Amino acid sequence: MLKKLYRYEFYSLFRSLLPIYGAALGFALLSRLTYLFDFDNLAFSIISGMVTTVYVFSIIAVAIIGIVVVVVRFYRNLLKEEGYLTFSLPFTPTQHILCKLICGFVVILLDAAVVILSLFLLGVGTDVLPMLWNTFKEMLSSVLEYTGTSQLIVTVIEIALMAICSVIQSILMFYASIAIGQQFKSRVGGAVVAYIALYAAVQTVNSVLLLLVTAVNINRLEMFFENGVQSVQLTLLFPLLESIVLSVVYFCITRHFLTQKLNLE
Amino acid sequence: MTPILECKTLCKAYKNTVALNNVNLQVNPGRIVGLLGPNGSGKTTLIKLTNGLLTPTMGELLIDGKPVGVETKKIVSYLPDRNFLAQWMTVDQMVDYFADFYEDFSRERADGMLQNLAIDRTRKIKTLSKGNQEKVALILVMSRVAKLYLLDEPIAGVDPATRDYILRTIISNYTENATILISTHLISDVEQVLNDVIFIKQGNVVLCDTVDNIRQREQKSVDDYFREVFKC
Repeated sequence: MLKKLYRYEFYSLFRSLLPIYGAALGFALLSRLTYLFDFDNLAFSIISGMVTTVYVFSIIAVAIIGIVVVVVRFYRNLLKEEGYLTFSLPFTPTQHILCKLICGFVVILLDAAVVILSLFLLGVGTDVLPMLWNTFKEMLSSVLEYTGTSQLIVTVIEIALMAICSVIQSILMFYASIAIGQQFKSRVGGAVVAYIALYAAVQTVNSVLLLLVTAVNINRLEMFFENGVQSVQLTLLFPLLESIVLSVVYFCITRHFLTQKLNLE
Repeated sequence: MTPILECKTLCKAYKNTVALNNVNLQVNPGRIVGLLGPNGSGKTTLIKLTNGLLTPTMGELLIDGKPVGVETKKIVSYLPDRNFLAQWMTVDQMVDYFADFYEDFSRERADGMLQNLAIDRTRKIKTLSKGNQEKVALILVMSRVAKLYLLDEPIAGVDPATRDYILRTIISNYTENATILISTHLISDVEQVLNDVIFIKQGNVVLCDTVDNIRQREQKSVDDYFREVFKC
């Protein structure tokens, strides 16, 4: 039964996103094709320029609309009239939030994949891709020389985890703001105020933590760092932990408001 | 016999208002019950609590002996007082949605009712008229073979012909052991179909009795008695 909930969630999200993905990839391909022909023709140059401009806009659209669709879907499906139907289904609010979070996360991943794929399409058959590949190989070998394979793997895993947690934290921050915002007369206004308040609170806590760390003699921390790689790993660890903690906090806020203080329109 | 709906000292308070105050109530299976009261008396709050859309401030609410949760949502079919269908779906997709999530949903029943009304199933919900949207919502809710139907103001704001259709649909889809709780302030229209009534006034249950008892005791219709109790 839970599978069906995810199926409907994906369907609802992708019915509006797939055409945008298609447009971005299509214009990337079209843009690449126009570069194949080297016509010395003003009209062709104008068309080629237009196609590239539309491609750039479609990529910007992919980057922005993905998160917008995820956030709007959460609001409409849970807190507008549709919420009466959604919350009448035999699932807990936690299951609803998790379903929306996981599907939203997949959307953001696909957004990134579409942008990368479109850039790849744009570079196919040119010198750019082999050049990038060679640069990447050179960089990798010099980094490996400095860090060693095991340290590099740990760092890459840490960076990947940080990226995943940051996306989850960002989505949950929107959900928590919307969940708080529904308590106000103007729900959207309330959500915006809640978002700003949450952001300000996190920044304040960050500043206080930074002050505390600086207050501790920084030299005493140096003994923990054997070399530069470990210091990078340790530096990355703090935002990773912060992301995890904030994600849990935002999830709990969202859950609390959707179970204890649900206020459907 | 386990009551299908039981409230024990149930209270629900909002910021500045007490919507339900110490409600004690038992509704038995197989009854059609009118939840009657003027606007703002707490009818919708009670129905929302029963469907788990609100959490009680105090007290206990049991459906078929179980606290409100996933298990009770499987046996409760709820029609809210607003258009709750996904506007972007077609009628067919909406039928699939109900069939996918509710094991007690009868596709045959829904197909039959949609066919009778000649509703184009390929049309999106948002393109249907307000009346047809309400009919589709009622058809979907009544196509479940649920133990408890919660119908919040199902006949408010519709024309008399649609009102008749709605009441006919409710009666014809009513199974022997199911309970229907109809919230309304249009008593004369529903009185004919009710077995029991609950009068609710400013969050307090002031009466819970059978229609026959009220008529016999008061020597008047439920509608007339309602007007007397809730006289402004």
